[in-house]
Amino acid sequence: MFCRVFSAAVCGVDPQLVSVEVDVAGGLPAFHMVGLPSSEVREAKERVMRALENSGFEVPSRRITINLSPANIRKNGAGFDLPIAAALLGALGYIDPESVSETMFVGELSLDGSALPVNGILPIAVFARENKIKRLLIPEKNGFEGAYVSGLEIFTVSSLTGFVRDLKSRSLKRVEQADLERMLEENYRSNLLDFRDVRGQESAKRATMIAAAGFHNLLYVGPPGAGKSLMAARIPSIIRRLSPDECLEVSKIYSVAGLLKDETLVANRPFRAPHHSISSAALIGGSANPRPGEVTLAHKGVLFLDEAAEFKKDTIEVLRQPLEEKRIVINRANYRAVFPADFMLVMAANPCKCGYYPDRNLCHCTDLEVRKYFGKIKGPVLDRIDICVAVEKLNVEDFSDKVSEMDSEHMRKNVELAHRVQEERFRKETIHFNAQMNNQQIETYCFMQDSAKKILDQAYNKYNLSARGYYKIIKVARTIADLEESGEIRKEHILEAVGYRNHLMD
Amino acid sequence: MTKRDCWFWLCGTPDIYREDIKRIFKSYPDPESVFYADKTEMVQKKIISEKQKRNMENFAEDDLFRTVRDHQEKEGIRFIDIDDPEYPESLKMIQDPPYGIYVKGNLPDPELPSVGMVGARACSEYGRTMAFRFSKGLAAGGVQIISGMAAGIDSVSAEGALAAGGKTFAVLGSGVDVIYPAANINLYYNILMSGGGIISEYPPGTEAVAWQFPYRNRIISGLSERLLVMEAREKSGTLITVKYALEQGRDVYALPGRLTDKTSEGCNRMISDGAGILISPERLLSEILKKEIAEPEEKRAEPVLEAPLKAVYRLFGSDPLSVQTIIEKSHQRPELVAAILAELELSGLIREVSKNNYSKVG
Repeated sequence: MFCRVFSAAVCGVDPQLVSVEVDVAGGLPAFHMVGLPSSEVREAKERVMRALENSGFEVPSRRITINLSPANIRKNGAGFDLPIAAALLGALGYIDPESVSETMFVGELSLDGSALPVNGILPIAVFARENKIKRLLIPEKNGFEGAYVSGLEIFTVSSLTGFVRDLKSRSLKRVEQADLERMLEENYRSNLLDFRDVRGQESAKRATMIAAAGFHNLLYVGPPGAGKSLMAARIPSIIRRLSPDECLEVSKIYSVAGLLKDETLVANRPFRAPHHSISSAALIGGSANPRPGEVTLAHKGVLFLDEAAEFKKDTIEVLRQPLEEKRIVINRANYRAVFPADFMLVMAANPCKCGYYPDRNLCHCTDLEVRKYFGKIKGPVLDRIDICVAVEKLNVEDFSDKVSEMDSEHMRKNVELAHRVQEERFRKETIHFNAQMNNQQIETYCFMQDSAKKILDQAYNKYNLSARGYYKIIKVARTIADLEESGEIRKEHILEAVGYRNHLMD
Repeated sequence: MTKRDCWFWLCGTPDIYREDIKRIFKSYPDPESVFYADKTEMVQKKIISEKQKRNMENFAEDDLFRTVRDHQEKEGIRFIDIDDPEYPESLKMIQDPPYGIYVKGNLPDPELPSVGMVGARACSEYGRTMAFRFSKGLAAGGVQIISGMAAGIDSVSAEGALAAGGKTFAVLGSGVDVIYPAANINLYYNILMSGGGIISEYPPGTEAVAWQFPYRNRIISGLSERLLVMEAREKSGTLITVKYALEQGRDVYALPGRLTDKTSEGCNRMISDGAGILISPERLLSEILKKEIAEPEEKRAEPVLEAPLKAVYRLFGSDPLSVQTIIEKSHQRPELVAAILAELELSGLIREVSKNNYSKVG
C-alpha cells in the first residue's frame, strides 16, 4: 500500500513543500528513509514506530520505504514525525489514504503518541495557504499560530489515537480564527516602555524622535549610567504600531526561532540588544542549521548595540549587508537562506575608554586616546550613522518633580506625522523614509532655502565633510523639516542637523 | 679619528646609555681613549657587558659609524657632542647633561630668552586654552618656547608659538626622526618649517619607551631659563620636570586653577610652595624682557550677535558646557539650542570638544 501526505521544510523563514510518501510492501522486513533527511529526521523512525505501537497501531514486519521529496533539499527538525506517522497509518490501512491526500502535517511525536509543538508553524501555515493546500494539521500547542491565518482549514492534533478517531468521525478539532487587528489592539503597549520615565535629556530625546521619524541610524555618546540603554529601549514606543502584515512578517521569524511567547504573536516592534561578546554568526544568523540571528529578530524594530566600541571588529563588519540590503543572505555548504533584516540601528558608546571625557576630574585619557577609542567602530558601520547625540549624566535636580512633555505619546504623534509626509513624498519611489534616499533623490526632494544652502556650504568647508557626510546632513534636515511639515528646508533645520552630525567621521 | 668621531661612535653605539658612558669615564679620561681601549679588558673589569662590547666593536668595524653619520646628515640630523662649541651652555650647567644631542632643524638661540612649557597630557579645556594663550603671547614677544611635543599641553604650547609666528623647540624621548605620538606629524613638520628644531639625546631610530620621557624633561628645563607648568595633577609626571628645573636653578611658574579641579591640584600646590603664579602672558613677558608691557585693556570685545545667540554665548565660561546644561540654563527649546550652538560653532566662537559638549574659543 502507498500513501502520500504533505509537509514542509523551513529554510530561513521560507518553507518549501515536501511530500512524504510511504510505501509498505512485501519482502524482507526493512525500514528505509530516503530523501536527504537530517539526523533529527532520521531519528523520526524510532519515535514514529514507538508512538504508533504505543497508540495501539501495530506495524507489521514488512518492507517499509519512506521518501521525502524533493530529494535535493535538506530536511531539518522534528516536524516530520507527524506526516510520516500519518502516511504510515494510511499505507497500513488504519486510515483511508484518500482522506489525507490533500493534507499537510507538521509536528513532533512523543513516544506515547502525543503531538508536540515545533517551530515555524506560522510561516508554514501562510505557505500552505499560498500553495492552495486544503488542510493543515498541527500540534495542539501550536494552534494559536494557525488562528491568524485564514483561507485554509487548520486542525490541531493532540495525539495519534485522537487523530485517527476524529478523522474517521469527521470531527477533527478546527482552529478558531482570531482577529489579528484586535489582537494587536489588545496587546499593544502592554509591555511597552515610555519616554515619560526619562527625565531631562531633552536634546537626546529630540534627536531620537528625529531618528525614528526618518528611520535614521542613531549613535548615543555618553558616560556610563547616563541612560543610553534606557532611551534605546523606548524607541519602539514612538514608532507606529505594527500593521497586521508586519505583525505576521515578524511573528513568522519568531515562530521559526521558537521565540513566540504566551501563545500569541508579536504585537510590539522588536527591540534586540545583544551583548558585545556576541559572535558574528549569532548576530547575522546561520550556524549548521539556518537560524535567524539578532539582525533578523530585530526586523521592523530596533537593533541596539550597547558599548559599540567593545564589539569585535569583524562582528560589527557583518552588519554591512543588512544595513545596505535590508536582508541577510547566508550561504553555507548545505544551504542558502535569506532572512529579512530591516531594522533601525541604534548604537551607544562611551566618549572614551574610561567613559567620562570631557570631565577631567574623572577622565585621564589623552585626546589621542579619546580619538582612538572609536577606531574600532570607525568605518563602514559608523559611516551609516546619520545622527549622533550626547546622552548626559543627570544632575540630581533632574530626578525631582520635573515632568517632561516629551512622552512617548507626544513623540509618536510627531513621528507619525513625519511618516505620513514621507509616504506622500515617496509614493512613486521604492523607498519609504528619508534615510533611504540616494543622492539623486536628495536632489529631487530636498528643496533648500538659499540661507540654508549657505550654512550647509559653510559647514562643508569648516568640517571638511565628505560627500556622504554632506548628504547625510541634508537627509536629517529633511526629516527635521518634515516634523514641522515644512516643504522647504530652512536654515535652522540645516543648523540642527549639523549639530547631530557624526563628528567621529569628520 | 677625531675626537668628534669618537664622541659620535660612543654616543651612537646601541645599548650604551648615558649611565654607561658615565661609568666608562671613571676609568677612561676621554672618548678617544675609550675608542682605542682593549674592549676585552673593559669587560673583564666589568665596565661594559659582553653585549655592549660586541656593539662597540660592530659600530667601529669598517667605520660603520661614519656611514651612519653620513646617512643621518643627509636626513638633516646633526650630532652635537658636549665639547662642540655649538653645544648649549645652559645645558652644560645641569647636573647630568647628555654627552651628545641629535638635532633636526635648529637649536634655540642662546641670545634669545627661552621658556619651557610642560603639563598634563590629559589636559582640560581650560589648560588647553591657557597654554595656547601663554605660548602665543610669549612667542609674539620673541620668547622661544621649549616643550616635549607630547599630547595635551606640550602640543598646544608648540601650536601657540607657531600661531604667533614664533620659534618653538621640541625635546623628544625618542629619536629625532621618530614622531611620537604619531598624530603629531603635522606639528613636527610645522616646527621644522618655522625655523624651530627637534632635539633628542637618543640616537635616531630610537623608539619611544616610557622611561625615557621623564628623563628627557631635564633637557627641556635645561634649555629654558624659566619653566611654566600649565596643568598638573597631584601625582604627575610633570612634577619630575619641576624637580629638575629647581635643581637646575630655573624659575618655575604655575598656572592657578580651581581647588575642585584635579587637573589643577599639582599647580596650586606648587604655587603654595612658592612657585611663580601666572597671571597673564604680558606680565611674564615684562619680567623676561625687563620692560613694561601693558596688558590689553579689554580682554576681548564680545562679538556682535543676535539676541538668542548672544544669550547662549554668554553662558560660556572656561568649562565646556553640554547641550542639556544649556537647554536648562537658557530655558530654550532643544531644537533652538541645537541650531544656535551649530551656528556659534560655525562662526568659530565655540568648539565642540566632545559630542554635544562645547567650549568657548579663546
